[in-house]
Amino acid sequence: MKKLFGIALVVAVVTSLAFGSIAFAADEPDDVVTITWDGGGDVWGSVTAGNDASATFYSGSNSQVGEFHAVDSNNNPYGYGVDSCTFSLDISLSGGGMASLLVDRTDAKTSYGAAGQQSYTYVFTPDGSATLQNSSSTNYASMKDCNYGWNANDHITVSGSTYYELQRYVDSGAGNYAEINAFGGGDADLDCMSSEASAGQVRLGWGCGCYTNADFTANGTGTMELYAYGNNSATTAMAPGMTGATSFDFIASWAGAFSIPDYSTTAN
Amino acid sequence: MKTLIRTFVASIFLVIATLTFSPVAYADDPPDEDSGTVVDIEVDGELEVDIGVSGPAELNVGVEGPSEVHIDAGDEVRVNVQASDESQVFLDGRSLDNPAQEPDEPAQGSVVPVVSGAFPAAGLLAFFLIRRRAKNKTRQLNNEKGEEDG
Repeated sequence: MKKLFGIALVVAVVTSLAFGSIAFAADEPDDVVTITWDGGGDVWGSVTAGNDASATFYSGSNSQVGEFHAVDSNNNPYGYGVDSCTFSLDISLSGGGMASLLVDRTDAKTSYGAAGQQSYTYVFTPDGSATLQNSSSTNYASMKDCNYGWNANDHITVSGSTYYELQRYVDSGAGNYAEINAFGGGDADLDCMSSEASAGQVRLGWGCGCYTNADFTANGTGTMELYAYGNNSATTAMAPGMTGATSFDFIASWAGAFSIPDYSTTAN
Repeated sequence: MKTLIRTFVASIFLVIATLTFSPVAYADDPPDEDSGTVVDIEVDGELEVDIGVSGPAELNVGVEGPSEVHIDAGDEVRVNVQASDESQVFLDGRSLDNPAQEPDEPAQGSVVPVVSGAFPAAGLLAFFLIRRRAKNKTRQLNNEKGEEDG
């Protein structure tokens, strides 16, 4: 009888441990953050996805509709100790306002290069309408802003403004950097569908294995700047055939209609 | 035979209680320092804001002005809210009468660890009680049998 009792007890304990382990070993669910807002005022915040990545956003306007999403996949691909994360911001402002999104990649599998990459997008106008959209993902290897399939066009727009500022940059955190910015009055439209950043290279306006959609158009008056530097090389579709440069800084001003068909840039 | 059946019943009860409630106890642990998500949101103005957070995370919300903020937080989310009197803050559809909660005060789920620990303990207690009764019964039967033989 004692033997049977012992067997029953062992069966109970083993069964508990076995099935319990399966429950605990199941994939950890995603951490998901969704924030939407509508009205006048300011909304700002940050999401820190463990030690893997973080994002900070701001939206302020008398009238605005905004949406921010963050996902920490908690997936630890290949056991490298780095979770994949995605952050996106989609904002529409009217009657003036400001919006920005900064994403920091803070962890990496170091054989792919160190962490420290940044993606930034920003728009300001005191009186016009503006939109700002970007989606940025990070993992063990790099940071990628892949907007195809989400919002392929019009990542920063301004209309009907007496003044505006816009800025978009990617930074490798290790000596490679590319930025496009503009200020002026009237209307502006920046397409920046894809960008990438890792310790060894940045790509502004192209990447993600997708076609390039990196153009800028404006009406009114204004000035734009395309600026990049790299440890070894800096190239852009704005200067096809340019070789040997480790940095460049192109500035253009306009009164009337202005257009750049392709400003895609690489710095490494 | 009866003892065996009782032992098995107690074992099964123990297994079910452990399987059912143990994962809840683990899931309710505070987020790991290295992998937990921390969300800080500030709202200032007259806005309608919806905030949704799921997964093991800490959500800190500050609200100024007459905004209406709806927070949909999963079971594993620790929510801290600091809001002005003008604002309306709803947590999982419930209005916060006193929105100015103490920082780090868990908004929900604090009862779960007690429950999750209590059920396996109850199962274990039931198991030993049944086992003792079975032993006593066996001893009593043996004594009666001994008296008859004697």
